[in-house]
Amino acid sequence: MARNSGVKNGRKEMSARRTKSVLSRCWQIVLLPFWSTSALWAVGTDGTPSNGTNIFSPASTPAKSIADLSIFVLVITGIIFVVVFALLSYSVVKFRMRAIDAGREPAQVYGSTQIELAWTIIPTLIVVVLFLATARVIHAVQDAPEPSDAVEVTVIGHQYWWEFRYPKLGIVTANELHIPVSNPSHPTPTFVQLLSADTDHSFWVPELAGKTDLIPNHPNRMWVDPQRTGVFLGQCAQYCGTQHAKMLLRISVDGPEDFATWVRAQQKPGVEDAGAIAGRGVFERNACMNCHAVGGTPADGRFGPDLTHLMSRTTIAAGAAENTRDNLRLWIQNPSAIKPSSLMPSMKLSDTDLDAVVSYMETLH
Amino acid sequence: MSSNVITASVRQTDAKPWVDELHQWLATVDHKRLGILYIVSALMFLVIGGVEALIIRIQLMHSHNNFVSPEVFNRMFTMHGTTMIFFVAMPFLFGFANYLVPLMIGARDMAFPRLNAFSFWLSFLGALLLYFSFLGGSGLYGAGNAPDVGWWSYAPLGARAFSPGA
Repeated sequence: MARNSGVKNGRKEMSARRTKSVLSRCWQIVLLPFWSTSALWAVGTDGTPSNGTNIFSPASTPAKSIADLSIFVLVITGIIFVVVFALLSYSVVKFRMRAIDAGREPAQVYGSTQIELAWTIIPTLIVVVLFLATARVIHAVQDAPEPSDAVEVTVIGHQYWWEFRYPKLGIVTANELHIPVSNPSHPTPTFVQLLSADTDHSFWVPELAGKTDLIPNHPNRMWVDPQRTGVFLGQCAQYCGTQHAKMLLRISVDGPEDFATWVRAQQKPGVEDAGAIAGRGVFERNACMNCHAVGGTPADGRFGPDLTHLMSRTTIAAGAAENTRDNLRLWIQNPSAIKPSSLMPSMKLSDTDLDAVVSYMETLH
Repeated sequence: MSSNVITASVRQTDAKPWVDELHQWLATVDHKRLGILYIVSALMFLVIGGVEALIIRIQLMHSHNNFVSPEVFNRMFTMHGTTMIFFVAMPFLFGFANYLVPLMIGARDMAFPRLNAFSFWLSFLGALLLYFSFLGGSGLYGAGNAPDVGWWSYAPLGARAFSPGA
C-alpha cells in the first residue's frame, strides 16, 4: 500500500513538475526577444542610473550583452531555486515525523524511471540553453569584425599606469583615454589592442566592456562602442603589484566635434612657453627626460607617461590624485607620498627647482 | 585496596603520563586520530587566516587608512588566501574523509596507514614552512619575507623578474 502510493505520488509530482518546467520554458522563450532587442538601446541605458562603474548601466554593446546574459542566467537559476526550495519545503513539512510514526519506517520508494529521466533531461536542457546563450555572447564580443574606420588604440600596461597610443592618429598619451561616441545606426567603435610592458594587468571599464587582461608577450584585442557621452571610470583588474589599486582608468567619450578637437590638440607638439625656460632646464638636467617624453623637445623617455599634454588630464598618477598644482608639486617632490611604491624616484629637488618644474608642467596643455 | 574482592592486575590506563598520551597522538596511524589531527590543525590555521582577514578589514575600514603599510597588506591577503584554501578548507575535507570513509565502507583503516600519517605531518610541516617566511626580511639573510603576490601568484609578477628573493 505504501509502495503504491509512493509511485502514484511520484507520477503526479512528475507531471506537475513537467508542466511547471514547460510553462517556465515558454516564459523564457517569450521574454528572450526582449532581452536582446535594441529598442531599449535607443533610449541609451536600461534605466539604471550610472555612478561611474555600474555594471547594470551598460553603455556599450559588449557590456550590454554581458549584462543581458547575466540577467537571463539569473532568471533561470532563480526559477530553479524557487522550484527546488518549494519542493524541499513541501517535503520537509509534509513528510516530517509525527507522533503516530514512532516505531514505523517511512514508505520505501525505490526509484522511478520517469522521475529520474525528468531530473536528468531537464537540467541537461537547461545547461544546453545556458551554454548556447553564453557561447553566442562570447562569439559576438570576441570575434566582432573591425570596421575600417574604427578608432584604433594601443594600450600598454605598466606598473602602475596606462599608456595609450593612437597609431593612426600619431598620438601618445597616458591614463585618460578619449574615444568618440558611437551611434547605433552608424557605429564607430574603438578597437583596442592590449599589450603589457611588465606584469599582467587587466583593462576594465565596467560600463563599457568586460575585463580583458594585458599579458606580456601576448597581445589581446577588445572593442567598445559607447552609446552615450560622458566620463567612464575603470581600473586595473589583475593584481600587478603594490599600487595595483591606484591604477585607474578614465575614458572620456566625446561627441564627434569634441573628439576631433581633442585629437588636434594632442597631435600638436608641447607648448613652448618662454616663461617656463627655467623649469624646462630643471626637467632636462635632472634625468626627468630619461623617463618622460615631451613632444617637440629632446625629452623622449618611454619608461614613464608622456607629459606633452599633461594639463589636458584631470588626474595624475593614473587617477591617484587630482591634477592640481599642489598635487603635482607633491608628486614631483616625493611620489611615494601619493603612490608608495611607484617606480618614479624622488629626485630630491630644491624648492626653487621644484617650483620651476611645476610651472613648466603647468604650461603643457 | 583492602577488600576481599580479587581484583585483576592494576589498570594501567588510570594514570598515564602525559608524555605517553602525547606520543600516542604524535605517532598515531589510526585514521580516526589522523582525521582529528587534520581538523584540529585546520581550526588552528582558520584562526590565523582569520586574523589576517581581520587585518585586511581594519585597513579597509576608512579611506587613506594606514593601519598596515601597503607591503604588509599585500602579504596579508596573499597569506590569507593561501592559508584558507590549502591549510583550512582542504585539511577539513581530508580530516572528514579520513575519519568517515573507512567507517562508511567497513574497512579497518585506510590502506597504508603510515603513509597516511606521513601525509598529515608533511602537510603540517608545509604550513609551518610557509609561515616561517614571515620571519624573513632583515632578520634572517636570504630568507626573504612572506609572499605578497596574491595567492595565485601569477607570473610574471610572482616570477623572479618581479619578485626577487621570493
